[in-house]
Amino acid sequence: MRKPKVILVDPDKCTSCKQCEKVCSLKHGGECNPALSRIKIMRNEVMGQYFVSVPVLCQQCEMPMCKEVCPMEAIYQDSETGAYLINEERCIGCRMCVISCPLGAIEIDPVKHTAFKCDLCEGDPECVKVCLSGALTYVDKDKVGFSERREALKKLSDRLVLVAGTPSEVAIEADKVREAN
Amino acid sequence: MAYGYAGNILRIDLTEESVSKTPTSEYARDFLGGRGINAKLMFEESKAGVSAFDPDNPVIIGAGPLVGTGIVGGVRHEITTRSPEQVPEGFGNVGSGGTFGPQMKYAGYDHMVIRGKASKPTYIYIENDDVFFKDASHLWGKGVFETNKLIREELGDPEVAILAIGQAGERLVRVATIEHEYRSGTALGAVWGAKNLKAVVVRGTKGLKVYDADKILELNKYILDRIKESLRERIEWSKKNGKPFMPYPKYCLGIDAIDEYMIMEKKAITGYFKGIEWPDIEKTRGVPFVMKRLVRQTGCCPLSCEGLMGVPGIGVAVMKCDPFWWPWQLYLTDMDKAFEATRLCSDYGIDNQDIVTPVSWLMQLYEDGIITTKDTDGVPMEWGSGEALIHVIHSVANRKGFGNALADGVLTLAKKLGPRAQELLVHRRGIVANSDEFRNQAGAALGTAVDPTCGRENWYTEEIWDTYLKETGQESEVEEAYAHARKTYGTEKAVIPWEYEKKAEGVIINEYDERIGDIFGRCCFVPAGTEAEARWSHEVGMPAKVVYPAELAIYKAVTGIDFNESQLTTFAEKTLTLEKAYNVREGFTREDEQISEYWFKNPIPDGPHKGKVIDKAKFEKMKDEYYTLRGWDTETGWPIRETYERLGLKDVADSLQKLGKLPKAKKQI
Repeated sequence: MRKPKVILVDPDKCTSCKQCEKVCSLKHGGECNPALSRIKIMRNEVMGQYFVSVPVLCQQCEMPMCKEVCPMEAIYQDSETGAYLINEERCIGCRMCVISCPLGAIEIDPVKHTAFKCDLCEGDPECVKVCLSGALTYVDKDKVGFSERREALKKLSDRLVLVAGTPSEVAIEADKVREAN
Repeated sequence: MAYGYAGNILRIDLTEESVSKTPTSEYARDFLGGRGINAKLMFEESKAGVSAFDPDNPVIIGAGPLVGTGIVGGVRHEITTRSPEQVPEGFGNVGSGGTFGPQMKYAGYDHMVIRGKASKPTYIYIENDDVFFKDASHLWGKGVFETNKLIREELGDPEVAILAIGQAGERLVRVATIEHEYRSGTALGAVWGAKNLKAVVVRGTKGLKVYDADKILELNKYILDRIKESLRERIEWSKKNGKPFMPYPKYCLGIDAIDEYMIMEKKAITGYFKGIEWPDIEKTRGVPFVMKRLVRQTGCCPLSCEGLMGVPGIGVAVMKCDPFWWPWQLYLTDMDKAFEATRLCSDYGIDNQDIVTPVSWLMQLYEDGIITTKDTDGVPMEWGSGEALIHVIHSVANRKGFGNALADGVLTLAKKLGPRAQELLVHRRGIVANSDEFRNQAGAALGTAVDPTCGRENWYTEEIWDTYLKETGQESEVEEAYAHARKTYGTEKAVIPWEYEKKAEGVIINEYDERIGDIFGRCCFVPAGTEAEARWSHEVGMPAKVVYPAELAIYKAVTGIDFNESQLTTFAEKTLTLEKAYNVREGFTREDEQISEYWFKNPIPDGPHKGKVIDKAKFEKMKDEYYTLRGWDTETGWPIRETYERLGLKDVADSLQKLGKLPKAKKQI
């Protein structure tokens, strides 16, 4: 196996442009269809005035729940990239993996009725290539130390709260924005 | 349907609450898409003399073949309708980036035609194949921000794409806009108000088939590499020249370019067309404001040319080049106030330039003693007063006080204020100028005069500003531009702004560029050609020239259809001719294609271009050259039958002949 790498997400840098969704679907399905993208930009509007977004995609967990729960053992690790992949021949579309994923990064293709998720594009992820803002970076897994991951996770959870968008949280964000200035 | 297209044109009747669909293919072969098909539909679906506020005035929304296909910059939709802002009313078009265009195509539609008038306030919700007419009574009277919020809550889906009007559009304010994700443009919003149409909302989750997905990914890499390269160049340039490098917008030549070139090239207008000499001009610069107020970069493509900004006590808003164009027009040095005004305009759904220039005019009238506080609800129109500006915005959007007259157009207010006020008003077909100087830019003056949509600004990219380039150590670009001009036009004068020679050719290239971008639906800020191809045409950071081979390669990858450059310009010419034909049908003649008399009579008062003024005789000669090159009659300015027929628009020529709107004899120089 090559040195395993992961796509690190920094939601603070996401500009909500959704280009990654488009190229992901082009790469995997040959058509442009954000609904079938393996990366999803969860977008929410704050006070009708601006967007906050979180890129959601498979983090290639150390102990992948999706793999654990799969009754068909259809999920396996790629020997080259370390990405967890889905054997479509074996997948029966039971959605166990969908339910178990803590990030919501695995879905069922409505046409093929099989699960699909980020496969790291054989080690050359398209989404990272188009992300000029630096919200997505492709980094060595061992170089992502505890603190980086923790920071990324903190930002992610802060932002997820905002994407949920209840009024009081919106007010907090607005205050933060004002404080920042 | 072919690759790249969604396949359908959706027709919506608000009066009947009915919908129907027809295939796009009927139009795609002859008019390509986007603004091209929009122009065809507009000519076909509207009748002569139907006013902008008539239910029969159609609103056409189109998204070109490259929109939503995954190519970088393919995110724009175009809205076409009769413009209520122009006097007399004429062809109106406005485009914007965002998620509306792509989602419209994912829902299955390349174009929508909206007609009729709803019996009560309504918004249209399109979810893939389903179209719903939803009650908007609770949204009526609400601003754009609140409307966005309530619609998303009501539909329970934060991902819907919304086009909406604010209070201004509802109240038929002629300068009201249609807002989309904090972007707007030419004022067409009142047409929606007249239809009782508050918003159009779309959610599309189907895919778009493309011809060659791998090729699109490869072209994306090429485009993004160019963007990164230009970023590196800008970092180097700032280091070399000891200028602060603005971290935002990282990849867009935007606000710093306005600051630099408007001011350094002494090209801006301060006050009411006073020239550049104003000691406080440094205080209105955009860069320091952005450095201080930026929260985060945002946008609709990877270039992400917008910023979310926040000012304590005022609020947050997404901004692009506004408010950095215009504070010098009011001698306004409080940039926070300028931000507040821009934000207020976005919420009311109003074009802020259409407020700013009239306010500048009112301030001049106030200074000259032509008006007093009695004319302006007791608010003194003093130079530099942000309060006066904010008062006018509220007053126009709510039609309260003296703003009620301005809401009906600046000409209505001028009439009310008397002949001296009318005399001082600088406008073209009722549309006021912006802060860009014309009197040292013959090509831009011509381009603006002949534009069928009566656009305020015409980036005449063939002209270069050598003072700026030389001062910033870019002499080689000046040489390159001169060499290009000698080769293409036979004279260097073609790229020298204040010369009149060969400008018609340049205007035509510019018109093609604009339309090709709008037909395809790809943003002109996202360059696709090689650096060398586009370099000399950068007016220091203004939109790059459309590089035809690159756009054709993109079109081929998306649709599988191959055609050559001359076919591409023919599509652009066809689009322009249809836009023109609409105006011809409405009775426009050569006399309507004019710039304000002010530019002929009042030379630039100061600065390095002092004394320059547009020479009327030379200007009219440029128009003759332009009409001749276009194949239009020089006397009436109308296209001749042969021109229509060459473009395959025989039916248009026939219908105009019946109305007596074809020139009798071919008269050209």
